Amino acid sequence: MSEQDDAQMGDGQQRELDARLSYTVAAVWRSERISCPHPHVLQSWLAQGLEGGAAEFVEFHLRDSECPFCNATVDDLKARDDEAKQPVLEDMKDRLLRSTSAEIQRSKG
Amino acid sequence: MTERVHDIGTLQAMDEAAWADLQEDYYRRVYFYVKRYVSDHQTAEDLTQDVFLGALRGIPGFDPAYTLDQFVFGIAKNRVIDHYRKHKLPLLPTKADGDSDTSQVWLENLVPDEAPLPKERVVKAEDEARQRKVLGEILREHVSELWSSGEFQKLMVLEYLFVIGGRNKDAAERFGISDEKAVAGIKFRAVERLRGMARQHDPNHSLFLGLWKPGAK
Repeated sequence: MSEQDDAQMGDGQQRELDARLSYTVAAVWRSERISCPHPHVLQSWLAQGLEGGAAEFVEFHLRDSECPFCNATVDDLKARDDEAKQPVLEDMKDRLLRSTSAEIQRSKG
Repeated sequence: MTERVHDIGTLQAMDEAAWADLQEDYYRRVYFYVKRYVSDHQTAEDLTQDVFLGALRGIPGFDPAYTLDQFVFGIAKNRVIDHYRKHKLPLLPTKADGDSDTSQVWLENLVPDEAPLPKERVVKAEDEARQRKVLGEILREHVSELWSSGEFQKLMVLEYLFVIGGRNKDAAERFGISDEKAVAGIKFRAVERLRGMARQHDPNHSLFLGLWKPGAK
């Protein structure tokens, strides 16, 4: 397929290909988190320590792509700076540990 | 942020300390992941708890083709979907699913299109897991090349086309590129690069059969 063919390829043909394949670049890209920046990069972005194209990409990835994993990491990083949220999250952690521990005991019992 | 290595065998042995470590590393991210889809804290906490209970129950069948991250967040995604179904909330389609006029890019002809016979299904599943793994590796390698060389516009264009399912025309407008042919060029060169990398990862011509068919590009 030439560059021109590729540019002119209709959506109908694209969809025909969809049906034949059991997975897509999109599926692998999303599930393997191919372009997700490292949490340290996200941390730098939050601290406004990223510049130019890198900062633009992170913004695109978070806002246009709406990556749920990176957005969760960013929300987590923001919450770490928010002292009001710490007790809530710590209490939750204790409750989660208790429930996990009880389930482990049940599974062994 | 901690980057501990979690041993699957120890988790499968239901070691409490190993599960506490796993939970310590994941609970906040899982909570904030879930919180993006539900409005209140209590629901998000309940779902987070369900995720770890699901992980405990699912760990004996952990598939090493996936990472622990994919395992945990895969359960989180399913719990959110279950919650939406249970409460009859509308499941919003993703951008790619909802737009029928998209130009998602496929590495066409990477896999053969014949339906497998029943006895071939196990082999096919193993082949797909290998294909998926290699495809992940080559995509990661390509993204890493673009990141290292500072080609962020190309990276955004590819993510826009490949992942969001955007059209060439819209990509040109979104990224201030002269016209859609220039976008098609970026896409074409990326697909060619990925095909080349896929061939390098398949020296025995056994993984991506479509790439080796007569006339395949």
